[in-house]
Amino acid sequence: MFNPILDDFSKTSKSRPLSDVLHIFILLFISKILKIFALFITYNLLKSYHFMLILFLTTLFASICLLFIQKPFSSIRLNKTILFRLIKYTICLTIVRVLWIFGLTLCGPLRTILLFEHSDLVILACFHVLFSSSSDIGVQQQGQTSRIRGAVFFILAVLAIFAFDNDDARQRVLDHPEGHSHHRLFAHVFYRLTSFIGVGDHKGGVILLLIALFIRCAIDSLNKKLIGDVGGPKKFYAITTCLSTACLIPTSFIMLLINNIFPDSIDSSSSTFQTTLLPSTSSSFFGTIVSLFIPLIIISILLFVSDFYIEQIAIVKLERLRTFRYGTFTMIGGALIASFLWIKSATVINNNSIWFNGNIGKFEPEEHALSGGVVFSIVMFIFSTDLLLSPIKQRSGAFIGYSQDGVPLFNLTHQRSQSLLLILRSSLRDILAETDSRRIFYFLCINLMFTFVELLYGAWTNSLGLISDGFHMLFDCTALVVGLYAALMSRWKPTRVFSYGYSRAEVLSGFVNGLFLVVVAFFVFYEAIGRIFEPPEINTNRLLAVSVAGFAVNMIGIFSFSHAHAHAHGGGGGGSCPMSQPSVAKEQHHHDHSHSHSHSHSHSHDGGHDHDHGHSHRSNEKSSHHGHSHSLTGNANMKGVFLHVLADTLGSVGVIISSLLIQYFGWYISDPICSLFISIMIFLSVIPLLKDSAMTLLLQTPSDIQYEILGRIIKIDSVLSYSDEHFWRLSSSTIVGTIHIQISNDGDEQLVTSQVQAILKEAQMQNVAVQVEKQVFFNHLAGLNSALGQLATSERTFLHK
Amino acid sequence: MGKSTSVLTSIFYLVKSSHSRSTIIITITTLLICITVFTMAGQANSMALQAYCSLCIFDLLFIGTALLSAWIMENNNTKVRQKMQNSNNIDNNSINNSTSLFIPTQTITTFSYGTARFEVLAVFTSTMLSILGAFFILKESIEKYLEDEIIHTEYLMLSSILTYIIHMIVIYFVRNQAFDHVIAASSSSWLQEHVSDMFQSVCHYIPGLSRLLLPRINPLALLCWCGLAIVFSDSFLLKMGYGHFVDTLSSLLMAFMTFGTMVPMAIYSGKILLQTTPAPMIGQLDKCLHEASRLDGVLEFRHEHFWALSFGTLVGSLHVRCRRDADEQLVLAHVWNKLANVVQILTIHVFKDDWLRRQTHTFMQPQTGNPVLSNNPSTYNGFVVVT
Repeated sequence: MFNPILDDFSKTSKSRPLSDVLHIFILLFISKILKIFALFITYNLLKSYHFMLILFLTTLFASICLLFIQKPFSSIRLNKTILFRLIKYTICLTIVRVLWIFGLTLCGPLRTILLFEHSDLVILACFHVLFSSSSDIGVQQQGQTSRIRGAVFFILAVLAIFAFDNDDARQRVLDHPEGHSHHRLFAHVFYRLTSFIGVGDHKGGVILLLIALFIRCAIDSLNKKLIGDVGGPKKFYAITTCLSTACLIPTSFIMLLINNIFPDSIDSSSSTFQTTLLPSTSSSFFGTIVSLFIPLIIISILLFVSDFYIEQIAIVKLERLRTFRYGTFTMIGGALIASFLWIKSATVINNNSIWFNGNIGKFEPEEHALSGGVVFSIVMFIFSTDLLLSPIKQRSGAFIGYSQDGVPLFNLTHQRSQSLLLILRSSLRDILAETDSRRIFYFLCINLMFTFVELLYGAWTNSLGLISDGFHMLFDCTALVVGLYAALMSRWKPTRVFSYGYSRAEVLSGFVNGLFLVVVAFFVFYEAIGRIFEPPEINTNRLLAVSVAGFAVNMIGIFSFSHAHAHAHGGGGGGSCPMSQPSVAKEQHHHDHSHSHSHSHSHSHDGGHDHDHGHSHRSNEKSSHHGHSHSLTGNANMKGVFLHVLADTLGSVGVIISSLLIQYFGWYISDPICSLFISIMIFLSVIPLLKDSAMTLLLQTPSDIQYEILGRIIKIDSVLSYSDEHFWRLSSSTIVGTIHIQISNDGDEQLVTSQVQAILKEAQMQNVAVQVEKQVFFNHLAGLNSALGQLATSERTFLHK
Repeated sequence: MGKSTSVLTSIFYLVKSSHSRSTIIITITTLLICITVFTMAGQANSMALQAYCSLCIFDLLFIGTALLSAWIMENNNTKVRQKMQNSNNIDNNSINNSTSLFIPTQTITTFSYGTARFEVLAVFTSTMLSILGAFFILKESIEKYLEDEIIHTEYLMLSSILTYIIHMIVIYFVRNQAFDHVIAASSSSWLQEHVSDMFQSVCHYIPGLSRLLLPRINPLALLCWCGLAIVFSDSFLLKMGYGHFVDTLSSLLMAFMTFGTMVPMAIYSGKILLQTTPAPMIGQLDKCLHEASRLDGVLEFRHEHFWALSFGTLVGSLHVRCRRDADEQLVLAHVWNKLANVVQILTIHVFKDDWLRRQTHTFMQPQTGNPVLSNNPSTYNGFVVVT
């Protein structure tokens, strides 16, 4: 999809010297200036005539001109498919033009130029940056950062026009006392629409122009082939203009009819251009038409004919990028100057003719005046055009190196997007494959559904409390998403970099979720402290119902998660690990019932462990106990998610209690006190999880590894000593161990290795590496003059023998 | 409990020692300023200010990390000293002490790799906390925008300047090895990249500035500068009467900037915590492994696990399958020789196929007595030694 634009960007090598193409530059410059002039005239005309009429007449004149210049229908054979595509294109083009001219009536010429006169390349580059650059990880193109900046500048500029433009103040005052200037059917419908969305007329115009811009870019880039089929861009342009005139005929006639039915609607607002003609609309209709036609012809030639031809010439002579770049710059700069001049002249005239609707009591502030937002956005647009149209230094299909599997990598971003659906489907299958992730996923779905119902209902009833609570729920969902992703990630296959596999991601996600809760607790605490001193008045109307509903949803989560959670905990029985003791005690009251049948419920992942325990149970009473306490730690990820849900539930309970207290006793201070308690409780409940997962991340030796193992290793024949014993927990289910063993010179390495391995395996270690050293080894090392590393301690064994 | 008290005592030791006195002063001032600034932010009711003031909390975490890494240094030094003393002792009365080495209570420690990893976790925690805080502020600012409350602009300037000063002091005057390393080693944030890109184009026009502008900028300082600019423009626009939208927008911008600055560091330290091979080491490791696999007697490598213990320390374990007639100690020594330069803490597991079959006749007698081996003989069929 982005192929054409990338081609455009890469074709920059042949740039002619400036002196050769100077006349073309000047021509381009003049045509753009004239176009600006035409736009301002059009805007003036639009004040007095219906925009459909103007559009129709201009396209009519333009198509007549083009018919004479180009003679498009003389030499072409159109077959059915091309005709069909042409008609499709024409309809889109007509819609774009209608939107454009309507946007012009609403926003004024300056803003229209700022928003609409961008080349397709800018918009496509913008989209390219926004939607595909995030997917190529690790590819640092030189031009990429400037592209991103350009896109951000573009967005900022649009935002500035949309939000920081004071222009809408005038609109709200003047246009929207209902029924006074909205006789036009189209405008009226549009006004209804925009007021439904909640934006002013001017902002509606901005939206319309943006939509028009995007549609234009889309149809232009999608129909590049069609242009070739028809036979060159000029012919194509002529044909489509003629066809769009034909399209406009019925609508404009309808408009004309409506305007004749309501004659006063032809002119609802006085303008500098038409003040004399205003009172006698019907009598001097033909005079109006005559005075209309001369500017219209100028407009249509300037806007649709000369501009197009000169741009085509410039594209051929200069290259595309330069044309668009300088064209856009000229347009923006020229529009700024023109609007300055225009405002000045218009204010002079306006001072003479007082606004006919005198109740405002002041002179009409010049419509669509310059404001800080517009100036800012002009600067931003210039920057972004400059950045986005600067040529890319390197081609995008470039060779960037080798992947981890040794396959050469090419940076082809557009190939990756096609399989999004496939990725979604496969990840959904992965999610549903295992109990943990399925559980999180279902709860996430319930939570999201509740959130959206809440948000929708809040928007419907216009209740801010509900909406902000919905946002809060959405925020909480991220913790679930993190948990879900980690649960999914932990099943990925080991790679070269992640040699132990991804199961550690679960521990890390548990830790991150714990930190998340700490942050939540901190902010709740901070807010509560602020509120204790000045408890705010709270409207408890809908609060109770919402919090009860939230409580119900969270209870579902608690019950579904506590099942898994209690399973992990329930195995402990005696609870030999002191670390998780407090959390067991804390959550005991929540799932007492699930404790009783926690053993009967078989878990796919813990089931394997139980098997192991049973096996070792017969051989050694003590080690079976270790096996149990090992599963006590459970899955940090699930624990984190569970704690999060628990914290949410606590929050709902707090809200219920405080709102009841406020409703019946009017104790407004109960709210901050409740939140204080809740934050402290969240913090306390999260500490064990944090401690647990942090200890795992810090490679703490599991507390259930007993010295007795090492004692048994020492007792093996011919073992002298051991050193560098490292045992650490990779995830909740795996322990990794490495050990160096020093044996006497007559011992057999393989036998010792296998015996040590057997001992370590009995202690539930899955991943063991044993290095067996003899005196000879150190002699070899000394001979090789090798670095000893950590061997100094083990060498000592032999030194002191 | 005892551990935490020992940590506390070591922190107290730090407090008493002279070289960290400036750190203590900075910590206390940071705490005070943090409290004042946050009360101001609460009074001002501006989310942008709150977002900026959360830098103060990051500063506290930063100082905590600095203290921790200083503590680890101190720890290592004392350990080395102890080791020296130990070895001296052993030299003196070697025979007596060699047995006491094997008493397990001494050798099993809770953190067998030492405390170096604490730094990594501290960096991860502080960056993650500020990321989550930025996330929370994102959500809060949207909620605040809906609530539409009045913002008092008079506090904005004062508290932002206070935050700026304390942040700069903390960043440049507190020695923090862990963060220095992470800042140097992690990939640059988007903020850094854009700023350097812009500066490059500035230097294109004014070459004289290249010495000032072109070096890599400390991302934390950059965050502070940009945040200050944002808060200033925010207060300016608020005074101009542009309404809440400005405040929300600038707080969103702040949050995204904090995100962008912290995410590369969090990724770097998080990857260490996930037991991964650091990317720059892969090439070197591959070269060493390739060389080692060409050694005489080595058949193949399996279960190559190489991971970073902390910043700059690599730990590895490796299974080497060697020929049946090879001398294990020689193979071990050669492989060790190849790898020990790159990997600081190494364990090499040498194994042979079917070693039982060759040696059955000599070792049959003792093995029958061993219940462990007879229990699961299937493990030693073929060469599957490690599961």
